[in-house]
Amino acid sequence: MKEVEILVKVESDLQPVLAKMALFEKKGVKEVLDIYYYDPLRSELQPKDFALERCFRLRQKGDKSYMTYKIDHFEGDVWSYSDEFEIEISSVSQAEKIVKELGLEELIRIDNTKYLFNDDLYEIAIEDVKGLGIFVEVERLEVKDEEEIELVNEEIRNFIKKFDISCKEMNMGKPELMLRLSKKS
Amino acid sequence: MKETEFWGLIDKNQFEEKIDKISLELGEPEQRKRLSIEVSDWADKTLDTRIRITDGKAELMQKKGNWEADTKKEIRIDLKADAAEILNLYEILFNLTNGDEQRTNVIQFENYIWETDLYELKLSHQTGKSDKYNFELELKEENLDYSKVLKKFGLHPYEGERGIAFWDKWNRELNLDARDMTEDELKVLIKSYL
Repeated sequence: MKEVEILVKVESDLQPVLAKMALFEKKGVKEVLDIYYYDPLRSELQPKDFALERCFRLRQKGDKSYMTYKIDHFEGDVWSYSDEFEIEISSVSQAEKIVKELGLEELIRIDNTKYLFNDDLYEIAIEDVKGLGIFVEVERLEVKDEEEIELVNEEIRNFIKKFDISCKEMNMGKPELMLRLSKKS
Repeated sequence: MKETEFWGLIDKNQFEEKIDKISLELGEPEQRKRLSIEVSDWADKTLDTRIRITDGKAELMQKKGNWEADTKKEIRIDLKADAAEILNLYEILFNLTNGDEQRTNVIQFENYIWETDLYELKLSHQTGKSDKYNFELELKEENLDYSKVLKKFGLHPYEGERGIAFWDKWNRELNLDARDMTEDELKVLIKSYL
């Protein structure tokens, strides 16, 4: 599945941003723990100068667990979209054992409270990320193969402008931001 | 979870005869249909990771222990019975085990299983590119004399070498390879087992 989303860092506290989301139907609040891994033997799953071209993670989101592998695609140096392979699993703790036997090592953990909102075309998440700050992440729910990614990205940017919040677009994901913060290259 | 298993080969005639013989002794078997998609890096001969679908129930399974060992440790995770998600898991595992010794064997079983308090006895008819027949005795009691059980039913454990050469030949003759299948072909096969 193609994952096309825009991540912005918000230059305010959480409450003013949540207040702006009154336009949208609340979908709930989820506590999310993401555990990212690297592979000491496979260079494609290792960070290079804090950047990740591929990532593998286990996620605990509320009472559901997921395993995900993402392959990033770039336009030059700019992230464009990711091929995302995700599956719901019954247990992160069992998956950690399997992952460990496959030789993967833990890279970074990201603790996040996600405030989720409904829209017909987009998944909207206001994220309070421990150690990193407040972010807004908007992902288009369905991207057809024939669609031009940059046009979809522009569409999402225009949608975010309607929120009327002071923010800065991030050209990197939260794992990279966290790696830079912890200086784990 | 630790498992101690003994494996051996039989032919089609023996398979049919033994179903009757064992049923007389142990009662009617449970019949189960299974699809296993192995996604493993054979550079590590102590690890066997598979997606398994048994009678519609899907799981991720990993066995840890030398291939030729009788006793191995097994971990299982339940999965949703959804073909698209299972295909996603295949892609995930494929990327995680990518390398020169990667294997992606598609293994199909029709199993006849007898459970007692002391052991589980399974006769398998495997299909794919051809047909092969084999048995597996899994002990529930660590100190059980497995040779007595096998002798009672006229079964002989395979005593030859079962390393890479053996299994590569076995897979070439019997099993499909997921890498040779299109996404749609693999999805259709997965759906047929759900």
